[in-house]
Amino acid sequence: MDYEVCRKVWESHVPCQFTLQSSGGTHGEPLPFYTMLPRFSYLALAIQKVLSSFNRRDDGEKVHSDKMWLEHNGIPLKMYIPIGVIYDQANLSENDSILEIIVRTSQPPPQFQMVDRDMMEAMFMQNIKEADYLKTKAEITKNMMKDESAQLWRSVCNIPDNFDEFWTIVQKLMETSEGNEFAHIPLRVYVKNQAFKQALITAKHPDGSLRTIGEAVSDVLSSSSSSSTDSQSEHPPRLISHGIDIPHHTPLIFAAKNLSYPDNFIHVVLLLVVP
Amino acid sequence: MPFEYIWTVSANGVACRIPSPSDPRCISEIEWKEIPCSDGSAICTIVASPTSAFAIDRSGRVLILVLPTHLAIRERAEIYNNQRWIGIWRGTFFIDRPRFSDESGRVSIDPSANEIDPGWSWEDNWHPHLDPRKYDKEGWQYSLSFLAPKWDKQCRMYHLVRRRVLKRNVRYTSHDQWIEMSNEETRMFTELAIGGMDVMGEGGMILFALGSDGNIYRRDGIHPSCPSGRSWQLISKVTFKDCESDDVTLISASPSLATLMAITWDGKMFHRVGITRQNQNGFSWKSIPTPKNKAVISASIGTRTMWCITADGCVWFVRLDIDEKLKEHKMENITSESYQMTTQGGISKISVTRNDQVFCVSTREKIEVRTGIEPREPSGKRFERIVDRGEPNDQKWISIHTGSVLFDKIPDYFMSSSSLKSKMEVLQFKKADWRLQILERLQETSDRSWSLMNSVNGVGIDSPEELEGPNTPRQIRCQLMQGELFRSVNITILNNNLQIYGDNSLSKSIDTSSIKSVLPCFQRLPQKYLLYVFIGANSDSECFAFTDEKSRTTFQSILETIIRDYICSSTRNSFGDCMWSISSEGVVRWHCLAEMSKESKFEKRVNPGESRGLVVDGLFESVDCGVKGSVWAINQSGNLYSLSSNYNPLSSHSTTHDYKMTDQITLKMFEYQKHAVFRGFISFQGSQKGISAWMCDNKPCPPSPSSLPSTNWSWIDSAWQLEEDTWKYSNNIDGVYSYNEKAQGKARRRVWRRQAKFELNKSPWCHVESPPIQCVRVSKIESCEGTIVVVVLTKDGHILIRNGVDREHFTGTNWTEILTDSPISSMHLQWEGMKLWCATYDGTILSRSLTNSKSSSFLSSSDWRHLDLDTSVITDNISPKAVNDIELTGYSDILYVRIKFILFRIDTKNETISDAYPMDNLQQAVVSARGSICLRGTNITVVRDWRVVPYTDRKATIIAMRDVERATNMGCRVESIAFY
Repeated sequence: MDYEVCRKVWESHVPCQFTLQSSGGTHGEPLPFYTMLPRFSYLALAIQKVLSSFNRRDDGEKVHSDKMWLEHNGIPLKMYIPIGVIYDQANLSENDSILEIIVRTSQPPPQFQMVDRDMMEAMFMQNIKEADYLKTKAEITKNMMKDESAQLWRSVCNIPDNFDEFWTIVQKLMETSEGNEFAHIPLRVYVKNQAFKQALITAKHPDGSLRTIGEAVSDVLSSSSSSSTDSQSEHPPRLISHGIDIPHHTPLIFAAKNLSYPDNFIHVVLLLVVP
Repeated sequence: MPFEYIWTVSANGVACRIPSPSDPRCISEIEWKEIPCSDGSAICTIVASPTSAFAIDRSGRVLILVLPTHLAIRERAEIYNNQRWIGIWRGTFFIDRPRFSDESGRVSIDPSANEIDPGWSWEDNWHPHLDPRKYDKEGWQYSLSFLAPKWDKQCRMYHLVRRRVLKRNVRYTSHDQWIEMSNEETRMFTELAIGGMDVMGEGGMILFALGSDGNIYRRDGIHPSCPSGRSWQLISKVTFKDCESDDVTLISASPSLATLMAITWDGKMFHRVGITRQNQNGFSWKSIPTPKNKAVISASIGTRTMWCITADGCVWFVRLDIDEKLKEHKMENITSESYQMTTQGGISKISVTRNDQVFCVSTREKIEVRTGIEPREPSGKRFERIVDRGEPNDQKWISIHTGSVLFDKIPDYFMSSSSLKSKMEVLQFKKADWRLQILERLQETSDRSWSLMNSVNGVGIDSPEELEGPNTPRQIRCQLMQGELFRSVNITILNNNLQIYGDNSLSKSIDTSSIKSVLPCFQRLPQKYLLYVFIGANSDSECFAFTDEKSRTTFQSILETIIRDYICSSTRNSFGDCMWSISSEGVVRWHCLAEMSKESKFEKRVNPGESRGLVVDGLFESVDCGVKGSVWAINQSGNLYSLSSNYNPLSSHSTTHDYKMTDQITLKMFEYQKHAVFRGFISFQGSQKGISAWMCDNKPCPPSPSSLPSTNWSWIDSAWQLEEDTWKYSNNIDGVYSYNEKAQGKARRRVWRRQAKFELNKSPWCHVESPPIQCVRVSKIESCEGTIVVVVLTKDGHILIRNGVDREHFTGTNWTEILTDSPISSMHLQWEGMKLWCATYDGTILSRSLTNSKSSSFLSSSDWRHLDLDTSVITDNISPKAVNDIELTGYSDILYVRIKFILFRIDTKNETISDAYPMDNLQQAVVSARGSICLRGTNITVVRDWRVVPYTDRKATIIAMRDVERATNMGCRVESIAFY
């Protein structure tokens, strides 16, 4: 694992603005809450702090975590996707703006799923196991002890402080035993407004050369149902992850080991290049 | 050269060595290497120290393999060539001393005798020893008779005899090969044991062997210049209950302490009492209880544990106590019940490392290691096979020895083959362009995100602890030193200045443009984390104090960001003129001496006292800098480090490096007591003449201090120990202390010590393996081949030159030794003309040119030339105390010699020496790339030009400073400087 790169992605934060829009506020809207949230974390974890800051104000009603939902640009947000992915999806790196999230206390729409901390932990571990299954047929997670998974979750809750704790566990997930390599690479590609796409991708081509991330993404797209990818043939889409353009010729194995999110998946948001 | 190996013997009788460093990236070879004997004999058993390996072959011979060393293993042979004048100079009469003899003339030596021990070869032929002070140009000294006391170098009328010293060097040349050890009595041996590395010190060891006659022998005379020793000495037989016991079948020794164990045929264990450095044979045997009184067939000792195998195949371990003062194992604490069984069966041979890790050969003839051994769990968890990297794979093994292995936990590449692979993979990707792009973009995005946040107008912003962007107005609470006391203050940091508000309405304002550099310090009593902030000229400073390290670090990084911004906005070339300094606490700072003048837009030089500087992570004792930004530094233990060429002090806060830097430091504390009438010596409060009852680093400290200067430090010893249990007395509390049998004096003191470790895990300094170094010199221009010449002087006076140093390979590739005839006390690299000057301890000054040496591993000692000047004015100043304080430096043809506080200027072209030029408190003299000499005393003085007035009647000059730049008081807290 490349320490320099891992450390940098661990420490990256995005600016967020939370505005409360309660359905029955009598004293007007409270001021928006600004904060830098770590890309690696989840809204499910961050929302607590936001709500307690709103609730600290004497005026207005108290907002409860199970009676609210989050929205950005009219779309309900998913609380179980890493914040960095949400930010990238909102296509904000182009315009350098703050992610504006509205906290609504009205009835949540049907697509919105409320996720509390424990549920988040379960979903997180589920992702880890899925990623490991893809990589090593679940060899590592099978042998992982309970306190190790607890340690991993704890370090995710405490970004940016517990890097060393995180690194110790993740290293185990990134190493394979006895010279074997990853069977498949956990990669999720997000195309605008659709569910993410995932496919079975190997780290190397059949001839042994390293597969690049550009090739892997186009493999994922072509193997899933065809979406309008005509424009793709002229200009390859930009691969955004962690807020930056990932060079197309980056080896996939490097991205898997160093540019994954804590759930061990590489989340890439496609930005189609408008000619 | 890595010297941490595990040695094994394969079932075919071939020795194999397994490289075992803690970090595999530091070494070039990671594969297992078989080293067969040149004559094909099969080996039965093997032991090793960090410098050599010893083995016994099937016919009972003991073989030695000396590992390659940086410094040549050499010995010098000398004979005297005597002649008498009988019309012409010729050989001596038969009543005289022989033609070739030793110094006394009694022993005749035949110069044509060419025999030397196996493994050694003659380096050169007999040649005379030259020294223009004692001998004439051909090396002769003259006298009236051989018994006369005085020998003259000039031949006079009444001189009838003459003599000269012929010398010839012999070198050990058979590194990495098995050579038979000399064996006068043609004994045969069956087992070996090696140990006592900590007790012998300096790479020494004690080697024991079990003869086929049942006796135990010790190899006498093992020494760095004689690795195979000289002879075998008999150790008395083991006696049990007053009669000689059964024959010894196995011996084993601890790698760290001098503990030797013997196991007899009937399974009893004995240890040798009384082995010390002075008496390496010990004086008696004592029996050790065996596990549950069963018969033991094999045992191995580490430092804190001992493992053994009993006849029923069970493997036991027992903790060992150590007597810290005598540095020996307390074997008497072991009882037959103290052992704990770890496993039953499966192990045939066991070897414990110095740090109590355990390796073994299993009954299936595979190598296994005990995983999970930690200080809290010395018995570990289980035996596991290690990754087989041998060629051919899947070999069977019969013996193993791990005495030279140093790691204190099993590195992961032993257990996981992919771990090594992935480390190599990381190295391979490091320079790829996509990776660099990713890093750059990550940094940019991060900066943009933070500045976005900060542009929002402060409404409902998160509390400052969580928002760490730049330009946020900060409030800091700490203490400010005023005179002798500290007062609490509040500091507000604004864009252009620091506002300081005190409780007594004291207020100060410091312009951020006047902040030049900061220096963190640690005060023990009362404990405070200090930060000196240097403002303006004359090293004016304010001293801030914090109660915890994190607050100080935060304040330090805020100030350094301010300094960095100023430097960035005004300099062009960040590695132009600069100065590196090391404080008395070992903190490294880089000072930028070239700033762009706002008016003229040209780079101008800044007085060092007004230069801006930044702290560089690390803990060192001395430093030198050279061309292309190369910087080399030495720490207290003599370890050498090179600064990564990726390092730029102006962007250090945003890049990470992952080299590891460690140092082991012995802290010393003095305990003082004053003599009171009727009460004798007692401790006291307060301080007298600057000395308190407990002093550490010349400053007061609490009794038994347990805090360390920063989180990079950790204690090695659990408590303070007395260095020696004797007091020294003096009549003045700040005077000279000495032993006094009658215990009289006004004050007395004794010394305590405690070891601490300094570790920096994300350090930009990369360790360069070498023998302990005392001084490093880096060239200030590039060589013709585009490399940077780096020369070091080891602590024992040898000179090494580092090959292959350039910006990409900033640590170079390998060492070449420049041989000298006597130990060197100081040296100077004259980069203009590529010459090396050096001075010996008795003041002889020599020089030689540095030729290209990529092929040879050493440069011959005959290329040195003496300085052909009358240097008596220098040697007269060398007193026994000054011998260790000689320093050479210079520029082009000018050589400067500093002896204590006196400076001499030698013009080697015009052949003149200046008179002594004393300077108050002068401690160091170095030269910058432009040729100015920089003198460090209380001030730092840069002399760009001297006024040199020659004497009319002799080859001497008087010198005075003409063009000078002075940085007042800058030398106060600084121990070492270097200029580029």
